[in-house]
Amino acid sequence: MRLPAPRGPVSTALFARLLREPGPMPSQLTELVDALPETTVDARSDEDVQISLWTCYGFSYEGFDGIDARWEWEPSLLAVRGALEAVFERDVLAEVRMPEDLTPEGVPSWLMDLCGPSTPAGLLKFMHQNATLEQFKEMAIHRSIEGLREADAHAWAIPRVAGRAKSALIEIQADEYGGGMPGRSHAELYAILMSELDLDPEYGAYIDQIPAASLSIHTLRSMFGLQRRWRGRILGNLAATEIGSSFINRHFTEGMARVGGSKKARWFYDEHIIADAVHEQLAAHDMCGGFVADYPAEWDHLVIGALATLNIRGLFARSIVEAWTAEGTSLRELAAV
Amino acid sequence: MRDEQPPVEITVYENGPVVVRGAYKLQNRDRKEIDPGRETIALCRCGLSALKPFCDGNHALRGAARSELRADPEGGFPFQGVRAPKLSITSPFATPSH
Repeated sequence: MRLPAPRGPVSTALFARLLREPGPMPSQLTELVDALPETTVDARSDEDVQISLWTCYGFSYEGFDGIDARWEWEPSLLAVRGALEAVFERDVLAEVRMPEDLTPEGVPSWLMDLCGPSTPAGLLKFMHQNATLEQFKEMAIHRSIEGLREADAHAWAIPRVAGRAKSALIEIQADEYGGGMPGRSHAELYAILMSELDLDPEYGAYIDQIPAASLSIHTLRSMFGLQRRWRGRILGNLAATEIGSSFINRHFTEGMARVGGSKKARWFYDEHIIADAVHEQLAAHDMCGGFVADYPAEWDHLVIGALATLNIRGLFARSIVEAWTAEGTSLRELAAV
Repeated sequence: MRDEQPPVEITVYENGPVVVRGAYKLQNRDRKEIDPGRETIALCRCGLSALKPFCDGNHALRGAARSELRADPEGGFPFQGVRAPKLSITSPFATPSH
């Protein structure tokens, strides 16, 4: 995977620095990073912040061609990442509130209710009834950032929890990874979806065209997953991802059938209808129920994680619908060479 | 002494499916095996699944109570028991529903 193109002053300075040996950051970059809380209006949709953060996490996933792999644990980069995470967390939490009257014991059924099927509207309704094949291709590109690495961000939680939550997490993840059978992991089904749509299934192939609000879905997950103090949040994120997913994927597969998508192309969506009907039960009751029982001091983290996930997902959905309603592309235009 | 693990575990999830784990064999009424394509399966208990015998999450749509939904972050319109259009849902793992 190649390093993406920069999108603002932070990523310009950062990506230039990454081309050289790991070590301290130039003062120009540290000044920009220190000023992030003041200069960032909304980190969730800030192109410069999100591409920088995505790149920081990239070292723990794919790595970048020709870039020193030791950057992954380089303290100067971790400091930059921490500052980006702080402003991202600030803007995610700004719209997230603990519900009143929610008790730890009530979390599983509250999650089912919150994340379960809702009135098909906005993006989901559009994909079901109106989206063209071209728009399905754009959607596949947006979600390729998470889809081609499905389950990886949640896998970070495995060594960070124990007990019933861990057992349930393993049960879900094992299925996500196709039970260990090559070719059957959900990520591999996503690659098939992309190939069937004549898209490049290589991870990151379209990174420069993917806007911040789409990157946020993956960076939020990575941010939660890579910090033990936020293990409750990543489990809440997983629960919010699995619950209601069958309903969403049924609408996607029906919509794609409407525009002539092949059965092979729709395999990813069809698999999720069945798989996530299992996963949502395990996630809500076994995993979150188990976590609440075994980690009572962190029960609210599940709630925050789930709410933050829906917040980011809503932002993503609105930005896509806005672009398509204006009859343009929802992808970033590539800069002229 | 460690309790013996039963070979098959059938777990009833409140307001949800029956989840089956272990060394089960899933078959239709002619005793023809159904390969679920996964280890842990969820079987429809409400009768609303379009992919029986497997759960597809449709139990959550039961009843007009869905019209009292929480505010949808993407905006909405009143849900009036709209059924999904009659397009076939295909999956490599499910037998035709009955």
